[in-house]
Amino acid sequence: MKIVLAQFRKDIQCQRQPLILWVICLALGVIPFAIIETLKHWHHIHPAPVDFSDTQKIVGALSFVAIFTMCMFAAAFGMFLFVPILVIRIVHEDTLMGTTAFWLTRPVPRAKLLLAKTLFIAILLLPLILGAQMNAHVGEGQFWLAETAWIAAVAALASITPGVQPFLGYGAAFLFGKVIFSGIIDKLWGYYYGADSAFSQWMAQHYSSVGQLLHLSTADLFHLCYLIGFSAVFIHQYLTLRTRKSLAFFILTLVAVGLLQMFASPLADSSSGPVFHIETNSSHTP
Amino acid sequence: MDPVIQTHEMSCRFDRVEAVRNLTLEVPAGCIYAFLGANGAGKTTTIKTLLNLIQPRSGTARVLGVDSTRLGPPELARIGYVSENQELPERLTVKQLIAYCRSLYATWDDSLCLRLTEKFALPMDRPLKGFSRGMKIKAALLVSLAYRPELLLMDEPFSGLDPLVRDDLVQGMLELSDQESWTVFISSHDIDEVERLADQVGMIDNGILTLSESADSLRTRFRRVDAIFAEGVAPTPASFQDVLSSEISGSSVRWIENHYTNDEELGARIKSQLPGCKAWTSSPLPLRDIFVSLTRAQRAVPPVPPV
Repeated sequence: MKIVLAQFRKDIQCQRQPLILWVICLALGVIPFAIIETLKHWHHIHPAPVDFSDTQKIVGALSFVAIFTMCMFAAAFGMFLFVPILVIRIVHEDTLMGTTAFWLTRPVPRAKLLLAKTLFIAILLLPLILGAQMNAHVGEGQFWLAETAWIAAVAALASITPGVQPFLGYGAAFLFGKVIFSGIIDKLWGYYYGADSAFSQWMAQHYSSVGQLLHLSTADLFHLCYLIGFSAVFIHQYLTLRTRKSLAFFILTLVAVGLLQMFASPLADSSSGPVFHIETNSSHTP
Repeated sequence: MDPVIQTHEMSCRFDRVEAVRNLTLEVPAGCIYAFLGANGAGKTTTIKTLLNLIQPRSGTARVLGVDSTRLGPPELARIGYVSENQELPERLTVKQLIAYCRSLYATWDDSLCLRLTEKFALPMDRPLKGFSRGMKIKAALLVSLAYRPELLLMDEPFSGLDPLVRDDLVQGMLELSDQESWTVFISSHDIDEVERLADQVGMIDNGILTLSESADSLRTRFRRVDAIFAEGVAPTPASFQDVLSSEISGSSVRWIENHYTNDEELGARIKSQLPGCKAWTSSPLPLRDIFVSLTRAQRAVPPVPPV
């Protein structure tokens, strides 16, 4: 545990500046809710309406909207930009590729390095999960699961790339590759078996059943599959340092879950699209 | 006592390039072994293989009695490594780097660390990112010595450093060597610096170990001989086929003798093999000249195609 904590402390020291910015963004995100709570509290103490002029009301409302918007932007910035950046930075700080990394010649067990990095990432995701616990759902489905799967993909890709440039290159290649691959499969399937035949009602029903068991929507089930797949890549790379195998697992995850999505959802490859609800006998399944 | 480093017929290959070929060497405990070679000779590959950063294609390497491919944290806790290529955590300050490394080693010695910090005069509160190359090497050496490693592997530590920093490092190493019972394996092409440290010398060229013996034996065995011949009996290059290198200039000849034992024996040999020699003198040869002569001689021999 001593080594895990030393590694964790080192990661914090190395990422001090972006971490400070991330904390500021999160703190700004809390401000609107704090204002609302304070106003609620104030209203509770002073139930009698305060006599504001029209101008005061307009200025007050506009200021509140401006503060709220700014703070929410900052929070979103922190959550969606700083978290992936921090994840990439801490994984690349002790790179798993090549032969020049400092930790490779020090008595740092791989499992402990993995634990320290996972702990760091978990702390970065904690506000998101806490937010979800407080019923702060955004859109349909469980937003935190999609975000966690996305961060798992970022972490897995960072673990199999030696630096930021290869990360961006591979990332872009995988994103475009996935779209092109899905399109080709869809077209081929359609050519041989007719339009829209890629979607299988039978598969969709099974998915829906599994999702109900786990209290997840079909879209969230795919996110869970991605999360499990990318986490496996991340763990495999840390424990074995076999980059080619990890890369193959990464591609396999993308292809496998992408195909499942295609065959179980009427909208091919639309994990972020509207959730398809099965209306047939899904209610009879346990 | 078992050798600290032992390789047997070890070969490493990158695609089509054989970086190290059938390397067999032993480094006894407690010695400072200088591993010399030109750029691209195979020094770094050898050290990386010893540290399990690269796996040998064939043959074996044992470090501290353990097969190099099975080297793990328990063995790494007994090994120090300083390299020009190593990526230090540059966002940390020296103080933070020391605190980090301190938690990794059970044998960390705070007093030795303090002594080294003072000796190397490193600024403690500045990130390593802003350090010069020499200061980074000093910081790397500091966190590789403070836990008193049994084996210190150094890969080109002096490369690109100014003479003052080199001297600091060599002095520091010499002082510690007097006090510590460690083994040092140092690869370099800065032979003048290494000569001050080395007990044993190994030379590698084009992946092949051309020599491995004690520094004293090398200094004894290799001599520069200057001879003057009588008019009209100038020697021909054929007379010096068995020596490492020879330069004939009129009636004077300079060659490098690689089987020198003493002046009497050499005098007798010159008298019998080179009867026209009027006078001769022999002088010790610096390690640098031995290295250059051996490497040139090695390269003059056509390479044996790999089987």
